[in-house]
Amino acid sequence: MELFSEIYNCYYQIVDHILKEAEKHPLTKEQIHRICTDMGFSESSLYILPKLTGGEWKLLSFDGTSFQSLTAEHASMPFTLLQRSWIRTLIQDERFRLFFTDEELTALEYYTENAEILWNSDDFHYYDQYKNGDDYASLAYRQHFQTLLTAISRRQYVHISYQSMKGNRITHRYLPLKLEYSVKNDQFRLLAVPENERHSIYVRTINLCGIQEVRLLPRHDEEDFEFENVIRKSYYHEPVRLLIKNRRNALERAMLHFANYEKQTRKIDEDTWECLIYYNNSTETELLIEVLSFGPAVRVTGPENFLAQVKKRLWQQATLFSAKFSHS
Amino acid sequence: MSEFQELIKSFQKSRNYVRDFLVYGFKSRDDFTVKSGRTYDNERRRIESWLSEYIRTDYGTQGKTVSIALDSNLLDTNPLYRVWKSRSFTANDIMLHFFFLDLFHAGESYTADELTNLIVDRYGVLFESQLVRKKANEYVKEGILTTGRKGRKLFYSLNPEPARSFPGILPQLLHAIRFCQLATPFGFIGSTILDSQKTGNGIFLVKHGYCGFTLEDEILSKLLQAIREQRTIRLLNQSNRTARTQEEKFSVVPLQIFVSTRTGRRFLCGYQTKIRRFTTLRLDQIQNVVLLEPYADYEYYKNKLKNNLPFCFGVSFGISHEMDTVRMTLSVRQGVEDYIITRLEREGRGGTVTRIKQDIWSYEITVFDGNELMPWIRTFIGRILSFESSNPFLCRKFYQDIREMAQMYGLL
Repeated sequence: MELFSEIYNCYYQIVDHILKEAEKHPLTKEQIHRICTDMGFSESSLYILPKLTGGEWKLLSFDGTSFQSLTAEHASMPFTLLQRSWIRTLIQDERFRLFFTDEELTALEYYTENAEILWNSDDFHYYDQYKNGDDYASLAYRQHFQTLLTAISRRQYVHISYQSMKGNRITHRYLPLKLEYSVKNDQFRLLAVPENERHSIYVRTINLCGIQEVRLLPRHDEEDFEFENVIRKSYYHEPVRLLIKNRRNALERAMLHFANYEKQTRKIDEDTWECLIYYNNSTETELLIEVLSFGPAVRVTGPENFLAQVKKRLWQQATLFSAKFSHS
Repeated sequence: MSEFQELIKSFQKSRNYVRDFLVYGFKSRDDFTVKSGRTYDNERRRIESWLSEYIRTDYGTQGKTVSIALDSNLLDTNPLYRVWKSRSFTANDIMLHFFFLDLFHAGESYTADELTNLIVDRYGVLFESQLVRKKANEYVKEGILTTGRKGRKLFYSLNPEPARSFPGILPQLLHAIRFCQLATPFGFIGSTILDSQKTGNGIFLVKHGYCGFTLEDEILSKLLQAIREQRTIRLLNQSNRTARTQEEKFSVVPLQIFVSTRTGRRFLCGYQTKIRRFTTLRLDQIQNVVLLEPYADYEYYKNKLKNNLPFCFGVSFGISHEMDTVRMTLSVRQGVEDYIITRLEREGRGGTVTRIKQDIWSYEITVFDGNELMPWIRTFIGRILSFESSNPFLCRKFYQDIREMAQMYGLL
């Protein structure tokens, strides 16, 4: 039961696809090449194509014009023991359980009973995860989650009533787009657009724990929603520019800390690095306080708006400490 | 000179290069000094091939630098899983794989000799019976094939396909896997299920996820096995706490994995018998793990750690026997800035939050190492009325940092 095994190799997936196609109809070399290019790494076709069409891997036969599969009807791979073990381990995770009814969970336990558990939940200690994460054991929460999951899969509009951050009850019709899980907050959020703002670039975020009612509506969305493009459009043109002095191991700490943002780093001199971080309105405050947490090891040099916010907070702080600073 | 290959035999070798390209991304060829320039060239080419759409190349005074540019908030899967899907194999491996899937597809069962003969008859490929048996036994261990006996003969057959293994619940299971492959340990395994089911994830996103964690999974897997079996381990650690990267070997009793959701780091927490202390080691710095004998007092130290955890703000157990008490008072406009109180309660890890008077609140905690609080305390810059600690060093450091920051931006 190895993690790093050839049975999960990308090439096996490609060959599986080629054989499935070639079992139905002969394939030309160009068609095989296209599958390699579409599914593989950027140089995969250079390795797979000669071996498959040249006969080193005797899986295809050639009749002078096209290739037929030597396999007649090969089966899909069963779940491996490692995959079943992973599923069995997840059954103890409250978030995994959200997807199933109690009967389905019992069935799942039965189907994976011979698999080994890879870890127990108390083997991990998430020491800086926020308290008060979502109540995954709540029946209402599970129902809301499953309804939204169905709606997103079917691209179906929903009617939602929820409690806003300010405590107001809001009722609206939405096209649900994605379910976003925050590791830090241990919470799910729905990303959606209001029905009457279908072409807006402003995606709304609704905390699942605040949802009081969600109902499927008969209307389905027919158009593709270019989610990534919409989010990218919301990014500020100018990234945050940070100068990092490598003291108290700040460079490594900053590089790891900001590894979940799209960033670009270059060395300025022996002791200083410049790091550009791409962000949008929804991550701005979080990024601001993350930068402040590094203290004097990280200095913001732009953009002007972000820099002004840093200076404002520091100015307020210096004012609160003015007596202390003037005496020392 | 051997020909360049996209596939690799050992995960460990590529792991550190991928991590450097992802986390740092500013190093040039000359900065990679541990191995030869040729090794760097091969590793770079491989990583460019695996992750082509995420590779950014820059040219500066340092020369060419290569980085992996990811916005983890927008990913439907972790692109670094591709490194796990690059294990090399032989021609025999891949042929036998598909011959087995084909021969067993309708629920047949065969002995190794029968399989060998069928492979010659149907595909015209002659293998030694021993080789076919060896591969079939490997696939039994992987859970792909199963065995049964009729008399003295051992027969192999294929385990049922996923739809028959999980009748009626495969669609929900795949939804759960779409989420878990992004959000749970060993998500790579989930992504292999999506691969084999020819599906992806268009539903879930994960915020504050660290893609680089997957590079530590081989180490993590051994650590979890040691925890499960309550064994001592010997590990090779590559620490960069000193100016020069150092390798050290020592034994430790692994107890728990500490995970940060904010700093991109995971740690092994264990008991070091030699120095009789709890210790934490970054997973990305552990290079090798060897499982040793079971540890007799395992439960005792596991419980001791549990009792110590409320005094650990992060991963440090402190360097002295004295605890640090830290207290700060904050200005919070009631009704307007209540989210600050929520932050103190949610993020304060058990610290006491008290309303002193109208618009003034305090936060207090006693921990092994107060230094670990400092980054979090600085996130409240702009509203801190006072900072006090039983450790004078922390007080000096706090006020000095604020002064230095204000000077840095020309405010003092």
